[in-house]
Amino acid sequence: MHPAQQPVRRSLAILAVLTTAFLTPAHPFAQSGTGRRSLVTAEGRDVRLWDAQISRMVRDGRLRSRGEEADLVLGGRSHERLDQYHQGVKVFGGELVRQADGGQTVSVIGALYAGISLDVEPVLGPQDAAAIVADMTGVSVGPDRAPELIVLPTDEGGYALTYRVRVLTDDDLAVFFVDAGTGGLVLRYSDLQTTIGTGQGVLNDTKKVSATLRNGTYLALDGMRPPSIRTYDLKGNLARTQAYVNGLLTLNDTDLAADADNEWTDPAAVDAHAYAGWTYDYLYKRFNRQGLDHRNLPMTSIVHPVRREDWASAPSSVLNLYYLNAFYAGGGVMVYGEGLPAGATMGGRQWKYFSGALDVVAHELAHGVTDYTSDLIYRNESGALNEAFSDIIGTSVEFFYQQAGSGRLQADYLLGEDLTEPSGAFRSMANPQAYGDPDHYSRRYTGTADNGGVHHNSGIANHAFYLAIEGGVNRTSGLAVQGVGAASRAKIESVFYRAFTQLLPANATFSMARAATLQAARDLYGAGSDVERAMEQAWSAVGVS
Amino acid sequence: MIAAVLALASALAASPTLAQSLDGQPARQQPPQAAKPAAQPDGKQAAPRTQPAGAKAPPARKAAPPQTSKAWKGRGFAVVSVGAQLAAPGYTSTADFTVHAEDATLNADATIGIGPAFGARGGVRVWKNLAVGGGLAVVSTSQELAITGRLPHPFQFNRYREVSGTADGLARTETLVAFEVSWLVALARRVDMFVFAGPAYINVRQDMATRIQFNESFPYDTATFTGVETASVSGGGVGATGGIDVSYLVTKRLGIGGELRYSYAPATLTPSTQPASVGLGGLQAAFGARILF
Repeated sequence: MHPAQQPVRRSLAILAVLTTAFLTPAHPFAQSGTGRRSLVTAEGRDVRLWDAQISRMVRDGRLRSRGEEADLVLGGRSHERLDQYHQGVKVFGGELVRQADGGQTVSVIGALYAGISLDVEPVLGPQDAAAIVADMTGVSVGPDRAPELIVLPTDEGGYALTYRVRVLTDDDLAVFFVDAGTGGLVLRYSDLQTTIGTGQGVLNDTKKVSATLRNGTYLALDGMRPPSIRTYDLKGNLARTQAYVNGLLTLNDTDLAADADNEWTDPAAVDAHAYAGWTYDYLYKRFNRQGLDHRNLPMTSIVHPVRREDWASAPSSVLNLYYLNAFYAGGGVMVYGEGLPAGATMGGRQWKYFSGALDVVAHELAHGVTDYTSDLIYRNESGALNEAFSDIIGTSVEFFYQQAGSGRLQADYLLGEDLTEPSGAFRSMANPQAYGDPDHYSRRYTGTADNGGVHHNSGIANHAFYLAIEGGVNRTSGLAVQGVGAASRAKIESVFYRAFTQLLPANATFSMARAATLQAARDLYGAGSDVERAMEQAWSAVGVS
Repeated sequence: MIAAVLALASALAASPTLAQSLDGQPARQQPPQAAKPAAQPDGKQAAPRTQPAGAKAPPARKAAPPQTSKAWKGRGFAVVSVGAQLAAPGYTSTADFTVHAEDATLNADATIGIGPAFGARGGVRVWKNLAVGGGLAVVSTSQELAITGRLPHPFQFNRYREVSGTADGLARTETLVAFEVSWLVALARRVDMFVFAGPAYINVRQDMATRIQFNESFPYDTATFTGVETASVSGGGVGATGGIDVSYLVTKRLGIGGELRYSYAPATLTPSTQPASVGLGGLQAAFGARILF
C-alpha cells in the first residue's frame, strides 16, 4: 500500500465520528461544558442513520452545505462540509464533514452543538461591532471584512450571540467576538499560527522558543503573550541596524530570525527571544505589569547587528557598542552585542553573545520600564538610580527563574557573569567594591565620565537592595542590616518597583530613593514592618539618609 | 433481572408436584419404593429388601422428588439470548503526547457502563448430561473516563499544569467466542438448568483517550480541561467464561429462559504510545429462546 493511503484506510476504519447529544444520545463522546456535547462515534450502520439525519437538518435549515469537493487522492470520493445554523445564524465551530464514495456516505466527522435557545435578534448592528473593535485595536476593517453575526459556544457551556471580526494589527491577526447585545468583548484569540519550538541558548542550555509558522518557516515572533515579541536577525548589517534604530528603516518578516524546523540553532536569537518573554512574564507575575509601558508595547530584539569576524577591524566605538555591549534603544527595542569569535579575547576574556545572559536582557528591558515610568534622567544620581533599577530587575529576574548559586545559569548578585570565559561580571550588588564601584554614598564618583558615573554609583543602591534582602554588614560603614531573607525577596523587589516606577521623579537623588522605598515599604507592608526596617537599615548602611 | 431469574428457578425447583421431562416425555408417577424394586440407572433391577419378622412395615413413602441426575436423552441444545452486560471491570490507561515541545501525560480511569448484550450458545450431548459446544456473545457498552493529566507550560521546561475532568460516552464493543462444556441439571418439571464454563477469546474495539483537549491563556500557569481526543483501538485476549442458564420448556423442544454469564479475559491495548492492561468481559444477564433437539 502506498504510504499516503494509510491514513485514508485508517479513517475508513472509523466510519463516523459525530457530535451532538440531541441527535444520538446513546453515543455522546468527550462531553465538555454543559448543555452540549462534542464528538460522538458511530459505526457503519449509524453512518446511514446520520446520513438521513443530516438530510433532515439540511431541509429544516439547521445545516447548510458549504459545497462539495472532489477527493484528490481517491477517485470517486468527495467531501462535503456542512455548517450548523441556529435560526439562520451560523454556530461557530458547528460543522460536519461528510465523505462519500460514489454517492454513498463513507464517514461523517464533526461537531454540532445542542440546546441553543438564543434570541438571534441583535441589539447592535455590524457597524457598531466594527467600531468597538476599532476602538480596541486602532484598526478599522473594510466593507469586505464586515462583522459577521454568529452564535458562539462559550467555554462556560452556554451560547452568546456575537459579531465576529477578524483584524490584522501591527503585531497580531486577532479574532474578536463582540456581544451583539451589550457590545462587550466575549472572546478574542490570535489567528496567528503560534507554536513552541526548542533551541539551544548561548550557554548550550535548551529552552522553549515561542514562534510563528508562516509560509513553512518558523519565525521568532511570539504570538502567545499579550504583546508582540519579535527578534530580528540583521545578519551583521550594521548600516541596517543603525537605520532601524534611528527610525529610517522598517523591518519586516524576512528580517525576523527564522528556523526551518522549529529546532532553533542560533543561540543568540534563541536567548534574546526567550529571555525577552521571560522578562515580560516576570513583570506581569510579580507586579501585574503589562510590558514595558503597561500597555503591552511590542518588544523587539536585534541580534547579530555586526559580523563577528569583523571585530578586529571594527572601530573601537563599534566594538564597544555592538560587540561588547547591549543597549535599550527606546520604543521597546533592544540591541544585543555580538561578542567575539571563538579564540578572540578582550581584557583576557572570551565574550559570548550578549543576549546569552538573562540578567543582561532583563536589565535592558528594565530601562524600557523606566522610560515609561519615572524616566529617570540618565546622568548623575538619577542616572545611577536608573542603572540600579535595571540591575535590580535583572537580578530579580534571574532569581525568579534560576536556582540560587554561583555557577552559570544560576542566580546571584553579579551582573553579566555568564557572558565571559573565564567567568567575570560587570558589577556586584553584594560587594560593589570588588568591581571598583562604591558600596557607600561617601565613595560615590563625582566626576563627569560615564554621565556622572551612572554605572559606578549604581552600586550604592544596588548594595542597599542586596542588604535589604540578604542582610549583612556594609564594608565601609560597618553598619549591620537585618535583611528580610531570601524567601521574602519578592517584598523588597516590590518595594523597589513601586518606588522607582511610581514614586520617584525623573531627577531623583539617592536621598529621594531612600524616602520613596521607605514610603513604598509602609504602603505595601505597613509602618514598622520588617520590610520597612530592612530598607531603613540598608539605606543607612550605604550612607544614604 | 438476575434476581428474577433465580427466583423463577428456585420457585419451580421447590414444587414437589412437578416432574421432569428431560427426554421430552411426560413424567410418570413413581411407585412407592416398597411395592417394587427401584430401577437402577443402568436398567438392572436391584435385589428386593427384606423386612425382619415381626417388624412393622414402614409407612408408604411419598413419591420421590424429581431427581436432577435423571438422564438427558436429547442430542443437544441451542440458545439465543438478548440481555445486558451489568458489570464489567474497568481499566486504567496512560498516554503520552506532545504539548509545547514537551511530553504531556494523560491518565484515564475507565468505568464501563451497562450495555446491551446479544448471545448464542449451543452444544451436543456427549455423555450423560454433558454437552460440549460453543458460545458467542456481543456486548456494546459505553465508557466513562475520569481523566487526569499534566500539561507542560509553553515557555518553561519541567513546569506542568495539572488538569482533570471526565469524558463519557466512549464506545466499546466486545465479542466473545467460547468453547463451552455444559452440564444439564433438571430442576423441576419443564425446568432445566445448564451450568456451563470454558475457555473464551474476547475481542474488543473501543475508544481510548490519547490526548487531552484544553484551554489556556496567558500567563499559562493553569489550563482548563475541555475534553479528550480518542483513538479506536482493538485487541483481544484468552480467558474464561462460565454461567448458568435456566430454561422453561414450553413445548417438547422449545423453551424460554434466562442466563447469567461471567467472562473475563485480559488484553493489552495500545491507544498511542503506552500499552494498557484491560480486563474484558463481565457479568451478563440475558433472556431468550431455547431449543432442545
